[in-house]
Amino acid sequence: MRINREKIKKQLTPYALLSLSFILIVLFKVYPILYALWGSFFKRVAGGVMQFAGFENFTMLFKDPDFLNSVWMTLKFSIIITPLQVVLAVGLALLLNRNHVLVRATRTIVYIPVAVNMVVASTIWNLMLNPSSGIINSILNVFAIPSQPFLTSPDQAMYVVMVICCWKGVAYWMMFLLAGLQNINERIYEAGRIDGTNAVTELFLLTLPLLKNPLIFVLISDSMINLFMFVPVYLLTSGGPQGSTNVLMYEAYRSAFKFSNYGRSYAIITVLMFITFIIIGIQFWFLRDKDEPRTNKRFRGVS
Amino acid sequence: MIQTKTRFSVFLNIFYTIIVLVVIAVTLLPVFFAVSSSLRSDAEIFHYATPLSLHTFIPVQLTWDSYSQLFVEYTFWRPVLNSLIVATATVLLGFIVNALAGYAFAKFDFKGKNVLFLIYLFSFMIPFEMIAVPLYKTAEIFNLIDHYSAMVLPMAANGMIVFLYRQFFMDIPDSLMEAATIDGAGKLRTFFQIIVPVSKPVIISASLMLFIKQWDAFLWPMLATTKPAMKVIQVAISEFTLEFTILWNIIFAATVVAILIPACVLLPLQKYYIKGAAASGLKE
Repeated sequence: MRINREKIKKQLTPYALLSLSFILIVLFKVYPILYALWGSFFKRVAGGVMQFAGFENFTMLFKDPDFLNSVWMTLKFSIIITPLQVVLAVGLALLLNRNHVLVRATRTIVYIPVAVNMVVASTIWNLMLNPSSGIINSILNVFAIPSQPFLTSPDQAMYVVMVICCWKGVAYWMMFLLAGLQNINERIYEAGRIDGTNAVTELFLLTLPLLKNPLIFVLISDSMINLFMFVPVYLLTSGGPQGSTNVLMYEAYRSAFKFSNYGRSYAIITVLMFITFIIIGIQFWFLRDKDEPRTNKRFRGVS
Repeated sequence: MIQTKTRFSVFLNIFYTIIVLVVIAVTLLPVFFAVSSSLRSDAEIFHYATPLSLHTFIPVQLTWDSYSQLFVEYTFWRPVLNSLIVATATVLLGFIVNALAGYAFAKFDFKGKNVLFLIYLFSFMIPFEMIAVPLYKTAEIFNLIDHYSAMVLPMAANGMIVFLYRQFFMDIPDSLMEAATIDGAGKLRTFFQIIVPVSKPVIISASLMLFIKQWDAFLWPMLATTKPAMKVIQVAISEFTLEFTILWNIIFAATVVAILIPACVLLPLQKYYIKGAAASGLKE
């Protein structure tokens, strides 16, 4: 009898240890997702009652030019900035992968934007990019470039947001790639040099393939973050001028909290979720441990 | 032959140095400009803004006025304090919740382990923005809006940090724990007396990550609180930007405060933060 109770207690221990975090994750991560999925099939009718609406929210969305514009803006933003950030991060990692006192000091400096929050970064850049008295225009003037309208121009606003995101984000991604570079054994390069590699072939045939895992991680995480880019748009452009920065996340926010149209907001979020799950699926597929028996053994529990 | 080679490498070194200097300049420009502008009067910022001169960057008359105005007139101490409260509470709760989960995944075998671990991993891949709108409704249901707990609870459990703890705990030899079990210590006591004391590095990096995450939190605190007295620092700064009446030197002073406080925490512990971030990314 007593032994039995001990045994049950032993079996329950791991669940007890997990319970707190599990409750929090279910309540605040899983439940909201299901809530959004569920809510996207409802619409508000007279009197504030939610009524089942089938796919109406979605069919309305895909007929809505505002929504279609913001799909396009989100795609445009993601497709340009993600490769840009990854290439810059790789370049920066290669640049700073040297063991010299000054290079290490530079690395610390380069990490500074990582510690600067997006709200703060947007705020500072906003004042620097002020068309009439910002210093960026003063700097451009020195190089005989006329003053630019920046965030007030529908042609430039999106690219300005990209610049701010790059300033803030590149060093963060560099961190993972630098850690990856430092894991590469120096002997591989020596062996390569014997086989006659030069700087270019070394980069493409040795370094990048050996960086595959951190690169995939960075690429996927970065594209996810960019898909949900919100803060600079909320703070600096409110989706404008003329909808030129109206990304999906901002449109979802606006639907819910400006127009109280939660059904539409959840439908937009469901669309974003759908894209996200595809990206997560791709990540799992790429990172599945098929050709690394050592990792496989250790991570059997995961994959 | 040798000479051309050295000349080429000298050229390469100069080229390298120039690129590094440009990177440093671009990185530091906004931060430096914010610091220098926060130490001068608003009129002076505008007077020297254009055309570019030395005094665009270097104040003529140094003054702390913007900081005293920021904290006294704009009561900026309140959002700073709120952020510190929320971040500290999250770090403490996060330690208990995530470390215990990491312990369970690292040192126990149980039914459903793989599925549960996948759920945890999956939960950390979900960008917070995605659930912000429905989370608002969830918080409303539990009556959390306008409570500190609304900002703490959704951030405390973090799949990535559970993962970090798990990785670290897996490397602690079982023999260490068995000795304690023979002595009659329960699993929980083993955890606090044997595991926690040897896990300082992972505890530091996990705590730093949660602290920074909360210090940076913006969208969720903005949605979850409506009382001005509960504003956190990022929300307060965003309001400075959205209202066009605040003087520039005061906005810059606020951004400098927002950068300096986490930097003071992060710089001495940088090593742990980077290690933690890298470990969570590389999964090895």
